[in-house]
Order: sequence, then structure tokens, then C-alpha cells
Amino acid sequence: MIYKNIKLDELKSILSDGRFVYGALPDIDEILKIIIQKTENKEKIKIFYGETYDLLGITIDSIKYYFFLSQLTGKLQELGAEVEATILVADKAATLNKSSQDKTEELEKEGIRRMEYCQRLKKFLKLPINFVLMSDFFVHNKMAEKIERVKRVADGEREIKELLAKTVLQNRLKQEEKTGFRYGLEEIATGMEFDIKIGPPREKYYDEAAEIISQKLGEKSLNSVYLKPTYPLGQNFAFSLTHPEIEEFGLTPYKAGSNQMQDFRIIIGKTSVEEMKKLIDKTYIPTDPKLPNPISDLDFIAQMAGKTIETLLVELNKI
Amino acid sequence: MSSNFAIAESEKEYSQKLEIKKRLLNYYSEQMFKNGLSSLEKVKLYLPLELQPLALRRGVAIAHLNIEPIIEKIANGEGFTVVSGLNPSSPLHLGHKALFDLLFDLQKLGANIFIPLTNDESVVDGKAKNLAESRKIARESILPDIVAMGFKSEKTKIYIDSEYPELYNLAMRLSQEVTLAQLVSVFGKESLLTPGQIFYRGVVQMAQILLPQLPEFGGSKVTLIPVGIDQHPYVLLARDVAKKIGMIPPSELVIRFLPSLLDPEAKMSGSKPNTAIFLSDTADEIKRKINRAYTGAVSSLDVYQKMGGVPEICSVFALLNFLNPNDESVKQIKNHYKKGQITMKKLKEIATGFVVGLIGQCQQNRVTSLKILDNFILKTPLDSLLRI
Repeated sequence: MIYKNIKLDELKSILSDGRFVYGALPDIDEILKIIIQKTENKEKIKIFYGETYDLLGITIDSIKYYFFLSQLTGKLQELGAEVEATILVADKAATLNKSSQDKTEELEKEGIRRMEYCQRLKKFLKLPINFVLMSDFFVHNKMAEKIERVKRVADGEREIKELLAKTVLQNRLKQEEKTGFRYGLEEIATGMEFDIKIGPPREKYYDEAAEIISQKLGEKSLNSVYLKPTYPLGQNFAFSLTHPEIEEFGLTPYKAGSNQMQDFRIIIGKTSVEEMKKLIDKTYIPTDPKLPNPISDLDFIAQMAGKTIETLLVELNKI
Repeated sequence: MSSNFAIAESEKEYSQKLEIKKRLLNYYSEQMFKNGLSSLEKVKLYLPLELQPLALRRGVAIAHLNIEPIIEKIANGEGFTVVSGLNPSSPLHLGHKALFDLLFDLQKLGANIFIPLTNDESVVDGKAKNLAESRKIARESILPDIVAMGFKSEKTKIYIDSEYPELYNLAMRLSQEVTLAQLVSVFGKESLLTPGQIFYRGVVQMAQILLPQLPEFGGSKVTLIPVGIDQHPYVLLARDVAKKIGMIPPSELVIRFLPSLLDPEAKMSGSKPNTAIFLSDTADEIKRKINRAYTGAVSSLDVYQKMGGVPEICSVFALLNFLNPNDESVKQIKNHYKKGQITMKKLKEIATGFVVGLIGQCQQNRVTSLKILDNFILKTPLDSLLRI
């Protein structure tokens, strides 16, 4: 019992660490309750993080989510929970954008490449998470019908559309409106298949919309944990003042080209060590911890990478 | 020991002082809201302290409109332009000095500064008998005092409006972009009673604001206009016209006025000599004026020591807050003042010592500035306006 309490405290400290976690919906205590309840009832806890992508590569910010999910899964397992952690690679969603439509084939290939890379990463670092292509997930889980149900509810609800509009950067709004917020509605339907979602803060609007839809459909509520926003490196102190939208929610973590900031992010296998050093050197580090700080985010990723490797070494020593 | 009656009176006096503080705060927040201005809190969060002008650190600058492009220029180590003029109807006083200190701080951050001395405005508003009189004050008193503040001549251009009539060509060009109805809606009928007022308020001041964006000065550029809240309509109008003629709408930084020595709710004014300390005042005059100045402490020392003071409405403390660059010293005085731990006699001694030193330095610098005045005078012809 004492052991479990310690583990629960550790879990709580991971989920509420203000340096890395932005917030939760409805709140961390509620999420812990669900975890305890499911663990005691020996029910599987299904957690997930969904990401789409572009053709510019895998960002270090995606890796942050992979590590976070892995550590969360590890802590839940230590607590005795049965956990299924899924990273959904949204291959279909990546081709939805108007600007991507003439690149469908390339994007589909990129999805496969991305999956291969992620599988290698999982194998090499022994990450306790599963990478699943969204298209496969949709087939296996008969999602088409579920998405239709969600759409039917959303169609008549102005509030839902308004919330979904808030999930996209201003420069993408028109395009999302044209597709009827298809991506958002798919995301909501997908979320209903899981217990806990991990995502960037902007997704709280999906989740608020999801809550309305869930209630109308009589489905269970979605619980979410939001990690701190992703900010570009190599920017001076004026950047956040001149880019208030990015200041509020950050860049899309998994899309390297979000807001055309690809040159100011670390892209795995593309950004050289020298370039990284330059980016880090040029980044303004605020003294106020409440202000956007991409360096502290990098520190978080490095810490999680360190822990992952430490665990691997412990395993190796056992052998 | 104070009597009960005296204590009750002092407590009433203290409440009145708090009421004044509240009124002042409300006035500025209402003005900000009414005029769609933004708070500077976020700018202060991001701009590193070592780059913050005194006016920003001390709350003398209170609001802005689109200052972000200026901050971006500062962050990139690029130059920007500042325009701030004054009406030369009286010699310079410390209220002007506070404004020029801000310009000086901005120049250290990379600003090129244009300073129009609006002797035409003095005439249209009846503050000077004629152009010659206001020109004389501008030439002989104000110009040397400004130069004495240490501006770099290569980055500072000063002109007296009536000595730079080319400005009126630009004003004439700008008059094509505004209507009388617009001017009435911006300034109100009561400010546009004569043709001179209509011309000056309508387009001459706008010409001063937009002048640096003419091709002769390198074309469109980001420009900052530090102003008192009463000047906000001029900036709004200039922003509208700038958009129409392909210039960059100027940014605005709203600053508080240094209060009158006698009334915290009025500004220091050259036309009311007892409210102001002039850069030409002697040490005795300064001492006399400060000794008579309004403070934020109640009359009873016992009550003051018990309840503390209200430095925010103190005209003596304002002299230090607006002008003394020593942050630590000003902060300490403010803390002591709030707790009733510094007597008004002591405060006035400190302020007098500081101001006498400051003005002494200005007067000393003035002697050498007289020799270099010409380096600062704007003489650039505005040919682009006359070319077909």
C-alpha cells in the first residue's frame, strides 16, 4: 500500500509538473481517480497521442510526446495498471490540407517512412508504446460509422464549430472551415476510443467540443493532459510580442513546417549539431518562468531521454 | 503628540490623498480603454531590464499602440525613428527634460530622432504673440537646452517649423487625404476655431510625424511617437493617412506628464511658473519651489508615521521617479515613504539636492552646446514633393 502511495505520488508529480505540463481536463485529481479506479478494477487504461505530419521531417517535439507517453506508461505499470499507450500517426489527416492535396502520394510514403522510423525508435529504446497508422486504426475500429455519428451531432452545434475553429492557427482557418472541420471531428471520434489523451494545449478546444458531443451521444468523458506549447528556437525577445498567437499556443509540435518555422526547430536527422548549437545560442531565455522558453523544453526532452537510456542500462546490467 | 482632532483631520487628509491616487489611476486606465491602447506590462516582461528606458521601468510610460515593430527593431539591433516635438511657448522645464531623457534612452537603443519645435502651434493657439517671439524662444532657449542633453548630432534632427517651411509642402500634400469632417470628429469643433488651427492640427502636426518616411530620409520606416494622452488623436489620424499613402503607420508610446509642483492632478506647465522647475532656475529658486510643493504625506507627523504616505501623488517624489536614474535609491525612498519612514523635510532635501545637481549639469552643458547647434538643424530640402 505504501509502495503504491509512493508510486501514485510520483505519477501525480509527473502529471502536474508545471515546468512541462500545461494543464489537464478536467483536472489532474480527476484523472488520477480514473487511473486508480481502473487499476483496482483491473481494467485496461488506454492512453494516446495523435499526430499528423508534413514532408519536412520528424521534430524533436514529437519525440517529447513519445518519451512522455513512455514515462507515463512506465509509471502506470509500476502502479500495477494494465496500460495500452498508442501513438496514432494520422496519415489520412496529413493529406487533408488543400496545400497537401497534390502531394498525397508523397505524404502517404512519408507516413510509412515515419512509421518505420518510430518502430526503430521503439525497438532501440524499448519504448512501451505502440505506433499505429490512423488509416489502420480507422479500419480496425470501424471508425467511419463513429465519425458519422460525431458529425451528425456537430452539424447542428454552433458552439462545437466555434471551439474547433480555435484549434487551428488563423492562417489555416478558412481551409478547415471548407472541410467542415473534418480533421477535428475525426480527432474527437478517435478520442472517444481512449481514456486519457496527451496533446498540445490548443487541443483543449477539441476536448471541450468532444465533451459536448460525448454527453449528447451518452459516451464517457475524455480526460486530457496538455504538455507545454512548442516554441521555435533561435528567436530573440521580440518574437513572442510580434507573434501573439504563437506565444499563446506555440507551434504545432508534430509539423516541422508549422508557421514556416522549420529552420528554427530541431528536425531529427536534418538539423546538424552545429545548427542546433547556433539555434540554442541565439534563443532568448526569459527570466520569468511563465514566459515561453524553448530551451527549458529541450531540457525536458533531454531529461526524459536520459531517463530512458538509464532504464536501458539498468536492463542491460541485469543481463 | 497630536490631539484627537488633529489625528481625525489627518486621517481625513490621508483618505483624500488615497482618493486622488485612485482618481489618477482611473483616469489613465479609462483613457487607455477609451482609446484602444495596450498596456505595457507584456513589453516589460519581454524587454530585458537593461534595455528598458527609465520611463518604462518607473511607470512613466503607461500604454502603447502597436509598439511591437519597435521592440523587434531593438531586438535585431536595427535602427528606428522617433518623432517628438514641443511647443516652444516657454523655456524648458523638468517635464520636458523627462521627455528628452526618454528620447535619449531611445537613442541609446538605436533611434534616429526628429524634434520639431512647433512655434507655429504657439501662434495658432495664442501662446505666443507672433512667430518671431516663439522662434526666438525656440532658437535661443530651447534648442541649446535640447542639444545640451547629449544627443548625437548624426542621429538627431531638430527644426523650428517656421524655419523649415518645406514641412508645409508635405502638410499640403497630406491635406489631400483628410476632410474637415474627419478633423472635427477627431479633435472636436472647439479645437478648430481658426484656419490656422485647422491647418496646424489637421495636417502640420501629421507632417511632422510622417516626415521621416519621405524618400529624402530613406522612405517608409517604423516610427515611434512618444506622446501625452492628449496627443493621441494626432497619432490616430497620422496612422490612417500613413496607410493611405503607402507609409508605415507610426507606433505610439503614451507617457504620463510630470505633475505640477502644486497639484498632482495637473501637469507641470511653462505658463504657470510656480508649477514648474525650469532648466534656467537657480539653486535658490529650485529650493523655494520644492519646499512649497505638494506631497503625499499628511500634515501630522504622528499620523504619517503610523499610516505611511502616498508617493504616487507626491510632486516631490515625482521629480525623483521621473528623472533620477538610480533605481535602487528611488525604490528605497518609495518604500520608506509608503511606510512613513522618511520625513517630507528629508525628502525635499534629497529632491532639491538631486534637481540642483541635474540642472547645474544642464546649465554647464549648455555652454558647450551653443557651439554645435548647427550640426543638429534639419536643412534637407524636400524635393520629392515637387517632382512630377
